[in-house]
Amino acid sequence: MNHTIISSAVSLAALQQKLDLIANNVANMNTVGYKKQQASFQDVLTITMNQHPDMQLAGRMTQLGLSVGGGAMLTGLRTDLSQGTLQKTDNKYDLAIEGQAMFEIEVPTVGADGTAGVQTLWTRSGQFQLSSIAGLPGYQVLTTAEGYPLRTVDNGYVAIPDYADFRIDERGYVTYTNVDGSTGSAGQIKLMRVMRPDLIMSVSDNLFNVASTIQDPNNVLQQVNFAEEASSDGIAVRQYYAEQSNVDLLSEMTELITVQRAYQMNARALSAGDTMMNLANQLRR
Amino acid sequence: MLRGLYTAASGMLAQQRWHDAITNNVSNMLTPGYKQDTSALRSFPEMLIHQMGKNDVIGGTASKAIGTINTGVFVEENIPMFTQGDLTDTKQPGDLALLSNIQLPGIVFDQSGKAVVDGEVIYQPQAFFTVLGADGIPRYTRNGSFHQNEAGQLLSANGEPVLGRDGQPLVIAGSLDQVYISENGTLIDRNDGRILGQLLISRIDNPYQLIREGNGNYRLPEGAEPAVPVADDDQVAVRQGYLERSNVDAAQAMVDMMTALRLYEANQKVIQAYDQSLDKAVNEIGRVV
Repeated sequence: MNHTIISSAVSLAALQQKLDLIANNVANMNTVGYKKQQASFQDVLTITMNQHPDMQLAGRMTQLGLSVGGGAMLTGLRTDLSQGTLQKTDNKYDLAIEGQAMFEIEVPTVGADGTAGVQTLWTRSGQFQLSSIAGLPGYQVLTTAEGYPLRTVDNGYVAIPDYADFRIDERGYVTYTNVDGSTGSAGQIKLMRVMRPDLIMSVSDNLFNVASTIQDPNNVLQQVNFAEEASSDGIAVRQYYAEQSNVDLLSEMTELITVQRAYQMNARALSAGDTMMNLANQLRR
Repeated sequence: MLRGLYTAASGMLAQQRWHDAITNNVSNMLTPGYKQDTSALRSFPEMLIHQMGKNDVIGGTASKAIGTINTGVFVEENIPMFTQGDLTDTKQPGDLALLSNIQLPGIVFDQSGKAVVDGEVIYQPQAFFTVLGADGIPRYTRNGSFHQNEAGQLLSANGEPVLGRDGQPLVIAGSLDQVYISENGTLIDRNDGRILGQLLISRIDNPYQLIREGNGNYRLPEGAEPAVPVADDDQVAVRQGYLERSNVDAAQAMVDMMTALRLYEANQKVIQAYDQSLDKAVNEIGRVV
């Protein structure tokens, strides 16, 4: 009975975590550039109870020893980087990526000793804006909604002169047109192809980082070089488009129902175990 | 002593163990590749009962045998049932499902994967993915939820390397979404058609000799025949983008759980009845009032 109760409790905890995951996905259904998170279950290590050699009787199918399972746990938390639908907007600051790639963003951090530094993060959310930054008068820089600047292939910023209009082509080249008609180039936006989607973790604000156990981030994300590759694996940048989340409401709801029913059955098993313990306690008043 | 007291106690323990096994099945209803356990209950070895105080043969010693009695029941083993689970579409390039229906010539297997030919029991062989355990001994699993580590090595859900046909862990330089995995487990580059390797799908002839380790893994006992790779004409297929669901029958599990609970209760009542009888034997027989 105790084993029943413990293994049911373990499984209920795992199902609760799965429910939290589904709720997070559904809540972010309308977030631009959101990538849904998935996890799967695994059964817990099995205990094998020793059996006396005399118990090896005729007709026995398995090896000697009684194997008792311990329930299920949630494992394999990963981000699903499949493409979301591209929705056309009239906003020239909206960029969407086709293919398995990400924008590179510079985020200011504070080191352990209090010094200011920068951290590199990645994002799919292409809803940018122009912001002024210190040290670049007369120009405005393409940043995310929180003000984190977008990086170019030279690890600089995308600087557009004040009042200029700009265009971004499908390889990320930024060209601007000044008020007086003169044109210029603001560089090429850096795109990083995701080589190991299982090693990308999401941090806050729709930003991604590589897992902390990674030795070399270049193994996980590699810069897309449009000049070299002919096909570029179908990676392209689309201006005037916003990428919707890749959450499929139908499958999330179906999974929610399945998890709820599994939760119900595990709770039933738990209460049956409790009833059995009660019966054992009532053997002798 | 009243023999039935211990029989009923063993009944309670057996129902409790059975209930534990059912609970584990219910817990793993959503675990991919999980094979449900069936408990086999068995009566204790029998005892031959003789009638006391009566001799058939005058002057002899033989007393009359009445018959046999079992002194209890125990859960002998938890047998995994290797029926095929349904496939669920996940669209992840690293998720693989195995469809296993290995036939032996001239033998028809029943639903539980067993056939009796000339009095000999033959079990249906099963196919498994092969992963390398931490101790260097291969483990077998049906959970095909694979991912890559930093170096591109293909790992199982627990982090064990997946073995290729050459017995070495599979390493894929590029990203998994550029790899197509065919029905016989061959990894093909989508861009240029190069063959990158082949999965080792092991065939275990007697799947019931496997020891269940948990974490979705099985291992062969020491001294068992090693597993062989699946032959080309065996009815085994690998499907990329799918996962094999657990084969737990939820309705049957619920019914069994109720049954185990009520049998536990019934055995409890038997023990209480014995308790009352013993109470009388101890307290009322020979009471001088």
